[in-house]
Amino acid sequence: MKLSEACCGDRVIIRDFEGDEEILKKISAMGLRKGSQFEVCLRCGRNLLLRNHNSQFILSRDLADKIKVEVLNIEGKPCEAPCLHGDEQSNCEDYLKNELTNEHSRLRARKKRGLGIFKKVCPFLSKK
Amino acid sequence: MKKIRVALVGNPNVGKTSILNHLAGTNLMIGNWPGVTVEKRTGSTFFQEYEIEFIDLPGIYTLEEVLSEDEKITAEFLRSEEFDVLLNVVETPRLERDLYLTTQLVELRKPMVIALNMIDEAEKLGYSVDDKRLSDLLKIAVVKTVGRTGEGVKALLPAIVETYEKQQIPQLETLSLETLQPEDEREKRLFLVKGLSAEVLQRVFLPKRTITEFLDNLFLHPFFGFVFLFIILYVTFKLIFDISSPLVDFIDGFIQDFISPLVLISLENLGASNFISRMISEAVFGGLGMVFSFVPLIFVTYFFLTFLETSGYLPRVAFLMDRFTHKIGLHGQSIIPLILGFGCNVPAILATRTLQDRSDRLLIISMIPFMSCSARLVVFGFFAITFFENPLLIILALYLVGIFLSLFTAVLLRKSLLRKALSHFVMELPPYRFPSLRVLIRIVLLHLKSFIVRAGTIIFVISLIIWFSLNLPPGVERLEDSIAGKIGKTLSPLFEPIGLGDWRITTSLIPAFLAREAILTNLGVILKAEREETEAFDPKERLADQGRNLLSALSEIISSLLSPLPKKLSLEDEEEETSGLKGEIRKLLPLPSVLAFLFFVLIYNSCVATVVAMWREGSKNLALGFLFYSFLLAWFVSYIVYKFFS
Ligand SMILES: Nc1nc2c(ncn2[C@@H]2O[C@H](COP(=O)(O)OP(=O)(O)OP(=O)(O)O)[C@@H](O)[C@H]2O)c(=O)[nH]1
Ligand SMILES: [Mg+2]
Repeated sequence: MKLSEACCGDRVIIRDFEGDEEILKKISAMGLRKGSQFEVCLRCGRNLLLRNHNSQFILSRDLADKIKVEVLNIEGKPCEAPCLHGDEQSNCEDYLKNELTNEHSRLRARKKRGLGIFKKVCPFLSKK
Repeated sequence: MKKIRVALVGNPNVGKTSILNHLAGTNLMIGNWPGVTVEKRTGSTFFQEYEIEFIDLPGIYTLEEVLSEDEKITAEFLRSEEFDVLLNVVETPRLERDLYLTTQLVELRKPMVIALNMIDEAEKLGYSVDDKRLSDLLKIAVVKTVGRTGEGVKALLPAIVETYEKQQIPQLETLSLETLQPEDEREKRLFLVKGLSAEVLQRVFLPKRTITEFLDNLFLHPFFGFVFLFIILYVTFKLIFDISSPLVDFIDGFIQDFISPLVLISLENLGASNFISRMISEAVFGGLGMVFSFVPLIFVTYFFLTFLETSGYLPRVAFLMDRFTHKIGLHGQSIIPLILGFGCNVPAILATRTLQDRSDRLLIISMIPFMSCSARLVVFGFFAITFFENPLLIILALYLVGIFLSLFTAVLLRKSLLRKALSHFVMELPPYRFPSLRVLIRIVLLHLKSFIVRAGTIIFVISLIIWFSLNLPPGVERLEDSIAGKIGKTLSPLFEPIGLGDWRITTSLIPAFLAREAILTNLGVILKAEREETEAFDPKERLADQGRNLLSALSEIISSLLSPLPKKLSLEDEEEETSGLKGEIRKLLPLPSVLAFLFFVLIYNSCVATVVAMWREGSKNLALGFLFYSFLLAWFVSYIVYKFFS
């Protein structure tokens, strides 16, 4: 599956790169190589934060789309942003956007300014 | 004496510049993010019968694809072969990543030495490092180093000399990749690197959670990350002002009320002519003294800025901000040059070399001048402390307006001239590294030195020119009739609508184009020339006064450090007679004009060094177009501010 579909807390191993762009060569030189393992630590905005035992990378989703990975360990830690495998609403920004495209929720969002909207964006806030 | 030219090559942020600073005693900039060095810099040292010249190059990940301007500089230099020995600096904990470049360097068939840097970090991460093995495998000298403290760095010198004398070119029997297809070549290289790294690095133990992981869970948190960002910025800002503003006041008073009259009296006693003593009092003490009194502000500002740069927090800000900036077509990495702009716009413009896309670069270059640099901070600090009850808030507001206008400009350009899809974003986040206090202070003193040198040279000359133009034609009675007065008055109509019709203000906008601090020099010279020294001068009494002032400045620092809210100058303070030249300036300008003036100085790109940098890094059209745009914008905003407040 694509790296961009991985969730927070997933351990993944990079299997392949799709496409032949220059930037992919650079990514591989930077240390994101076939066979290397990473944990997806965060996904917010358009970016993913990848971490392994000694490096951390920020990667935008359009690049993550071009990286094929295998998930080794799905159970990982709970995710800060709502993240469901294969679901569209896979990060907090999208979640917010989907909420807002709905006309009614536009109004609702306005009413729920303050902590309300933060809870929607990042549900960990309401988590006990 | 024979000369050996050594090129420092390696991945970004592996400590090349740190090593060079230890080897050659240079003072080149370091920082904890990839892409600090963006130009070729050199440093030399003598060892045995050789002069060894080191060439520090921007970091590069691979020679296959050169995407950005800084990488181009390195690749071109390597191709030029204007060096005798390669010094490949490697970040030991990330050996496997770095060896990829090493195998490409091997193919250059040049004598090579490897520095296994950051040994300290590797050990903390539980690695044991077998440098002999690497040396055997490649058949070249390998030296363990710690660039942070300089440990082991000196052992590089004999290794370099030996490598040069014996022309030790790395040999890798397995490495005959040129004959392969590019795709296979990369695969094979990656395998080779994996094997090499496994031979050299062995994990002895797995460390517990590192401090970087702990801090990142806080600082990169999707919500609390921003809370911390806000707190960090607020505390930085508050500390800058709390610590420096009482000291600035003290130094200003010390120069104007003690040193200046003291020197004047001594000159009189020596029988110096009135002309000379007036020139010294007005041009040197009035003009330069005003700028010099801001040394504490510069020191404290750069102290905190340098701390942010060397700790590794800067790339985290890039990650956080990308969430917002990508919506206006900017990726987070561009935040780094923008933040550097708060120190000085010129290196910030150079720092855009790390961006891959030309249109991205042009966009960031046209945003940077709105970031209020330290020279502007000096001017703002002066006016804010002189005129406002709460200087911190007004300065904060100016900074925010600057940031807002830079975003406004970005959106404007993205929608018109620099239209383009958002480029992708990939960056390595280095671990947090706390610089040693010595290195920190050294970098800060470097910035301070360049401020003082500027003040002593360009600003001093400006201050003399202003003084002469105030005293010419010879025998001029009223200052308004001098050359400066006439020039100021000619320009007045242009600035009248924004409340800056006073010739003393308009004349200060001209030298400000060479260096913004010159605004203060100019006002200092003029006001000092207008001021009549009336009080009798008793050195002992005045010295005692200054002592008391210093004590009260220190106690003010302590008391404001203890209070969490920004300092408020009380109203009594304002009625009190202010020391130095500040009191004089208060009488000169009404409040709306001051605000309009500050906004004008903030927005108009009035700094020749920035214009030149924009010209060189961007293009002539960009530099000149921006000059025009920023003038219009500045005039317009100042006009609104002036009308709003009057
Ligand atoms: N712990 C540790 N930190 C180091 C060592 N060497 C350098 N550093 C730190 O690593 C960071 C990067 O150092 P630089 O010298 O700027 O690295 P560079 O290779 O010149 O980086 P670029 O110019 O960006 O390519 C700085 O924060 C240094 O203080 C080391 O041996 N150990
Ligand atoms: Mg460097």
